[in-house]
Amino acid sequence: MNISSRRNFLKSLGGATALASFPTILNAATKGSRVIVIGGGFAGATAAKYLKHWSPDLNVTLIEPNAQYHSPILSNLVINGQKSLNDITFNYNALKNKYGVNIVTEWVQGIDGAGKTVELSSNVKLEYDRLIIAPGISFLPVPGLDFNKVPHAWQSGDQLLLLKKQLDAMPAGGTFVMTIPPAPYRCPPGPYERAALVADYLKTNKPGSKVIILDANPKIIVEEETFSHEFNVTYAGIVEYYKNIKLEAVDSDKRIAITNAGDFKADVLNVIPVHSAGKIITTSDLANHPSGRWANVSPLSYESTKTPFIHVIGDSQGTGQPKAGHIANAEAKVCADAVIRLLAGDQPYAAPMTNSACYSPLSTNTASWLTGVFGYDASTDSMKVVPGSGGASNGVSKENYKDMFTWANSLFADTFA
Amino acid sequence: MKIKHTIPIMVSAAVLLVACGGGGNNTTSTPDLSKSSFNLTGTVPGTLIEAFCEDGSYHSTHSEENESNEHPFTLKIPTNLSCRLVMTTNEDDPDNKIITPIKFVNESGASSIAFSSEKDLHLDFIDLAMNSAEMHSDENQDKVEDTPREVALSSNASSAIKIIIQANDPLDSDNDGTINLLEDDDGDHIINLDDDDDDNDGILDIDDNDDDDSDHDGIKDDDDIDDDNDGINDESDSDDDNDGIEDEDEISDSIEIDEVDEVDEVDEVDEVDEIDEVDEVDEIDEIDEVDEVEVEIEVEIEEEKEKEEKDEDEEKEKDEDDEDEEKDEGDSIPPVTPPVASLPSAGRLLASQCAQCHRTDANPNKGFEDLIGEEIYGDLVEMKRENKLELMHLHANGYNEEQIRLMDDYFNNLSETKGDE
Repeated sequence: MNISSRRNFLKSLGGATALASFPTILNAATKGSRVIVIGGGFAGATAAKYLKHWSPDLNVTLIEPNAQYHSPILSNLVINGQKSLNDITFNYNALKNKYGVNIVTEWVQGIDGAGKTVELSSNVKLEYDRLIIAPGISFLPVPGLDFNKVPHAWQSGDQLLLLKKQLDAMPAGGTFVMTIPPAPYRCPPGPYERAALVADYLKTNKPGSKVIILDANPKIIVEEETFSHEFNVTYAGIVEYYKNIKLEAVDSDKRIAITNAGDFKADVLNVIPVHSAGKIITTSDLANHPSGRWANVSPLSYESTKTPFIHVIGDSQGTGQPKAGHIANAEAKVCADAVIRLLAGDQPYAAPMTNSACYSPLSTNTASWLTGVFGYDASTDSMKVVPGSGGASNGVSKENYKDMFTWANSLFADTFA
Repeated sequence: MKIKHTIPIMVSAAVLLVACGGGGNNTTSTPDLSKSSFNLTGTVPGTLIEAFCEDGSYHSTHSEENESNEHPFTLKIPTNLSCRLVMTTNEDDPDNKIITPIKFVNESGASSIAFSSEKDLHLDFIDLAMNSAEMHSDENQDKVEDTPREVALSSNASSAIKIIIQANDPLDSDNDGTINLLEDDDGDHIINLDDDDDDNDGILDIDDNDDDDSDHDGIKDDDDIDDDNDGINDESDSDDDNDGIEDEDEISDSIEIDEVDEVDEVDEVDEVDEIDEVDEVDEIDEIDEVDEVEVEIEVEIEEEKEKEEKDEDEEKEKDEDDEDEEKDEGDSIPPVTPPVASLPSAGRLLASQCAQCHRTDANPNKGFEDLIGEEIYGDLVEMKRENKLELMHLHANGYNEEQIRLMDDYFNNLSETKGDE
């Protein structure tokens, strides 16, 4: 249509438009597609934030049952008293007020993948065009284990405070026993970090005490050299490390870890059970990883290989990347970008990158670090560590300890602020 | 109702455009718009100023000749519609006209070609290209600037305008800042707006309905809130295609019964879904909050930035060896950077992976280093060469030079559009 027809065709309609009532809402395309994010940890909060940061027209709803999030990162510093729980607690005000994320403080009771709806505990159903699930972890049951008596403290908050309370009450010369589950579990260096920090705390505050580590793995799975040095040198005479220990049951009243290598009696028992994806993954039939514990997803978009339009990020996904807050944040950005592209009818970016970094405090003024950059490998459809990018610090240092707070505060801000 | 049909469009008789450059201030908006429109005013060289709006409506005016090179214009534009502004110099001379899409940039750097306003807006003089030599870029030689001209808004205009940022602009399907009507789909150097046969399939556009755009307004029917451009929103229009047959009657009269039945079925489902959705939304207040995308920049953001800079300065003055310092740092996360939309790109996604530890457009915390405006290419390539056992050196090893270049470009562009924050 040429200029003298189309322009004037349009022009002739301008008058007609003037007589009509103007629409009060934008049409479907500009109104914004609906993306629901379940779970407000490092993965979910980052996804919600970046979706709105990159595409403010999206209608993004974050469903999280708790009004505040207690970070597992730095949480071991609550146990030794260097941080308060409040120091590592975050809310969703910035996501709501600055980015326009709808915050729904409720539990989810069900997901209908075919109908593309999420049902809240209040029986309200919310429709979505894309759903992102970031429910973190759950634990496989251990016979006799009562978390009210034997805390895992592997999700922050009350469990953390319970463990701290028990440690504070432990008599000098007492025994702290902790169990480490088989990999994969949340925060690979975390249990070893905790053991070292507790040893440091006991060394000062409870002389004569012991730290017994019962590791289900065949060896220290990360930073082996650094942690071995800490256990054998820095905390020699305090830490005893045992590998290939399978936890079979717990006597919660007597604080006994019952294992394949015998019973370990503790004054304070810290059991970190075998991990699985957040429960909504299994109840929604998304745990199609061969182990039955994780959700298999495409590393390009984190879309479930089981149910379309549902994406799983963070600790619950089964790509083989580490389960930790930093890389959960990284996955969330890849997922958010892919969701935006998919909603626009495009394909996800074909060569996504993620990275993992973690600083571990090992005393009140020293820390180590561990890192790796992951790239998409099309030949295996998986994320793999880029050669030359993986590594750990050469032992511990005070400089690492200072850098740890720079890292954590930046990560907190990138996720919640 | 929104039921798809293929019908020939009855085009109104052609009316020759008024010559521009010295043309009168002849706005197409009628007086009827006075109660629901705002005036966009400014000065330009002799220019045709056009607004293309989301309902397919079109509004234009010409600048008014005077003795200076800055010709004033007033264009009436409906309120509560998002529109895109286009300026054309030499518009009555097909061989020499230059078309410039306009992208507004408000005081905080939010930018988009889509905008709306409830209040009058005044623009400072816009010095447009008057010939092809003055154009910034026109690789496909269609006489349309390849990228929109960014027009920085004054404080007053910034507070009045609503910059509308959206991932999928129905008027600009490829999101390149040039609306569909100004694209040259068939590469014949004639933009669709002026082209009798946009897709060069030998069928004149007025008889061609393979573009899913019944009214040829550059908005696909699925995205068009007014399929027949009759000024009546489809939801209120009982005859969406303006063929004189009521939509309901048209369904029963249609020869293509199967197809119509399918459409009808889908339509009913959509209606039910919409009702359910409204009920649900009523129960959750927060969900009402984000329907329409508007980035309204507030003065407080500037104040927050100043506070943040002050905080950072104070931080530097602290004793770095004081362990308590880190606790304080953790207590005072600076305010957030305002949401600013951008299109998906490899650079944006790759660069976002730096934000865990660095200040970027999304992370207000300085982290190890502020990357806004930083040139990271040289540093990262040097780190790769050094190959030290340091965390950032390992990260540098994780990226090839092309990826580093993409990230470098992204952070540089942040610097250009936002300045140092």
